[in-house]
Amino acid sequence: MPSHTTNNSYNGLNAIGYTAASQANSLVPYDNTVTIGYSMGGVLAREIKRQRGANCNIKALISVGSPHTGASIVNGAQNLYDVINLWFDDLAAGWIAYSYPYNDAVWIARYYFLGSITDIIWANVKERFFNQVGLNSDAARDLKPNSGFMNTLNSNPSTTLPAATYAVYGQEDWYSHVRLGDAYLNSGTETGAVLQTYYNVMSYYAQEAFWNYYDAQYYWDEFFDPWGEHYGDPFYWQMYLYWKYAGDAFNFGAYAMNVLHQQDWNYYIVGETLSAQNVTDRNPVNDAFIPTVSAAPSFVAANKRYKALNTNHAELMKYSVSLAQISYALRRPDINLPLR
Amino acid sequence: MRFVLLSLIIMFTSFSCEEPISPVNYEANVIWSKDVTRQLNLVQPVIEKGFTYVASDTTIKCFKLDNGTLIWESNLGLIPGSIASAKLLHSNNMLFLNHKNWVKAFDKANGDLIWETYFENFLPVNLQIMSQNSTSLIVGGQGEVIKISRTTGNIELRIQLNELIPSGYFQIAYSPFISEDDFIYVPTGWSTGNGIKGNILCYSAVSGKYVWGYEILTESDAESCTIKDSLIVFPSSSSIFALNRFTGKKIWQTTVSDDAFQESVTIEGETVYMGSHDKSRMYAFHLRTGSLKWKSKETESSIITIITVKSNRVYFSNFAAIYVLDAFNGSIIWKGFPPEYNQDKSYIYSSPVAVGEGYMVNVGSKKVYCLNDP
Repeated sequence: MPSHTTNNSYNGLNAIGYTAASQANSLVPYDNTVTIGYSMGGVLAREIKRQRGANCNIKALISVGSPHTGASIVNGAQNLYDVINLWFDDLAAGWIAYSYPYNDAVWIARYYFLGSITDIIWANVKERFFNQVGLNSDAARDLKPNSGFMNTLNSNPSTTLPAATYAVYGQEDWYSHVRLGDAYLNSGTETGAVLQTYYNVMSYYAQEAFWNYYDAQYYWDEFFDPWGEHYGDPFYWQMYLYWKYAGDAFNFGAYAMNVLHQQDWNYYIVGETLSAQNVTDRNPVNDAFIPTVSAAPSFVAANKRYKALNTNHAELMKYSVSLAQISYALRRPDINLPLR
Repeated sequence: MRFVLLSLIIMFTSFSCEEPISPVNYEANVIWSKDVTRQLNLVQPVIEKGFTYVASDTTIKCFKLDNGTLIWESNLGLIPGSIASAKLLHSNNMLFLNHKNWVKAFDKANGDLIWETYFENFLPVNLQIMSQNSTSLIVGGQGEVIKISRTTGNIELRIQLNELIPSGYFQIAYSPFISEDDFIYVPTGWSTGNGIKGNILCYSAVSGKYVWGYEILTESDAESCTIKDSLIVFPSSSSIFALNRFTGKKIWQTTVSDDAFQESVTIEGETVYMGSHDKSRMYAFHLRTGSLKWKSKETESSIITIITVKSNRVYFSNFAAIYVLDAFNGSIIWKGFPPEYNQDKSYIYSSPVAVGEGYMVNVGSKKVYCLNDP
């Protein structure tokens, strides 16, 4: 039996239903096609199946990080600028404790400490949604959870799924937003360089907090030492309070980078609330872009959902972990793609 | 004041990029590593008598286990590409590797090719795991299994899998199992056109005669099986089954409510170990009753691999990290990525991990690694 391999793309700004109707023949030109649909591609394949029904050429679908029940990030991306400003506020707190004016403190945080990282995240998510998908595009409108398109697509999922439907989805490690930005910056491969910078900033804040607490400890000890010459000296108490306050502020900055910003990313951008257990386990539970419940929905059978470790959305079609999972899906009996 | 310093120290310790694993009393370190070039290296190596044998890229290699000295290297005669097998088998003096339509045997001492067998009119299955007994090898394909002599590579039987399937359809033999008492057990899957079905088929390894078959009633296939005493155990979708391996009669079936299995069933002692690929947990079941002994915490990646159980530990890798679990309760004893991983995420442990003689060997995406057993 002859086989073909095609790698097709489409205008990601157009309404998904329109793309399915107008480009199905060129996107899926052969009978019995095994379609690997990355991100919106998986949703588009389902829409082609919905429109074509029994006449659809798609025999099997392996969706890879596809937002089957919607991508909250379409809404969340609009929050990104505000969220990042909140992050700068977190980092500015320490400098405010050092008596810098608010605007100067934010400027320091932005340009010296977190700016390079958040700018990468911002630029790449912005590129992804404002330019490639377009927050106001028809495609973006369709991808919103509970959009008219999504409601139609999912009103009877079985009519949109080839008999062989598999869902490969990523599960990125902690600091998933930083890793995602790095991967988008580097054509789908996280280099670790952005995360290293992130660690460095976080360590700086933690060290700053440490030395502030160290100073505070000195003034505390002096103030309460009944045999010392500064026993009960109000200046020492004031100095204790000052360094304690500064220590708390820098400590908060480090904690925010370590924990809160990951929670923010999940909640405000991806649209998923992390449980307390997930925070304790340091498990962000998605690919940093699409909630797992959408990328691996319940209407895809449990034995056809493949989870890829430490893989973010940008990496899903390049990282060995997800490629291995795709290999195992390809050999299942309802796909059984011949070896080439 | 002391408490804030304490809290700060706690915060410092949580900066690691990997999730905290407890306990941390056990450590594994890379003893040596060697470069490989293919990213998807999925063949489990062999460890034996102070050496390790590794198939990756287009070669098979022998290294000294304790220091990584290359003893020999043999070309597999492949065009560059991933080997379509998931396990290297071995006997006293030979190594056996399957890839698409052929099986080759190499001399363990020097890597010389001893025999090679090409299967005509054979449709292979990707990532096929062969099985062996003391005289024969068994290979699964689409619609048939082939038994060959371990000594000569001669084809001894070709068994067409026509049972428990409508005419006009064919079933895929994933990882057939051959027992020392000459039975062949074949877990299969086939496409109905609207879904998947599967069977367990049993044949005589002497005559190829069909002995019994078990039809899986749920919409699912079976991709691995193993035996112990009179039982054959296999996973299918959300269930683990145990049958009498001489009659095909079901002894027990255990179904989990929120998970699914595919590969990697292993028996050690009186326990069945099985990895899941939906919730990515390791499970342990009582061999005789099927009751659940324990299930591990969720890991981050579907467990579709070959599990090794030794010295009360469960070892596996899931295309990225190596895990070592306590076989009594499933708690994680050790988990690790390659040392380069923190700087370059493309370094992962990708093949099933081989364990023995105090070492673990894994073929990663960029290197072969030998680690001490933690």
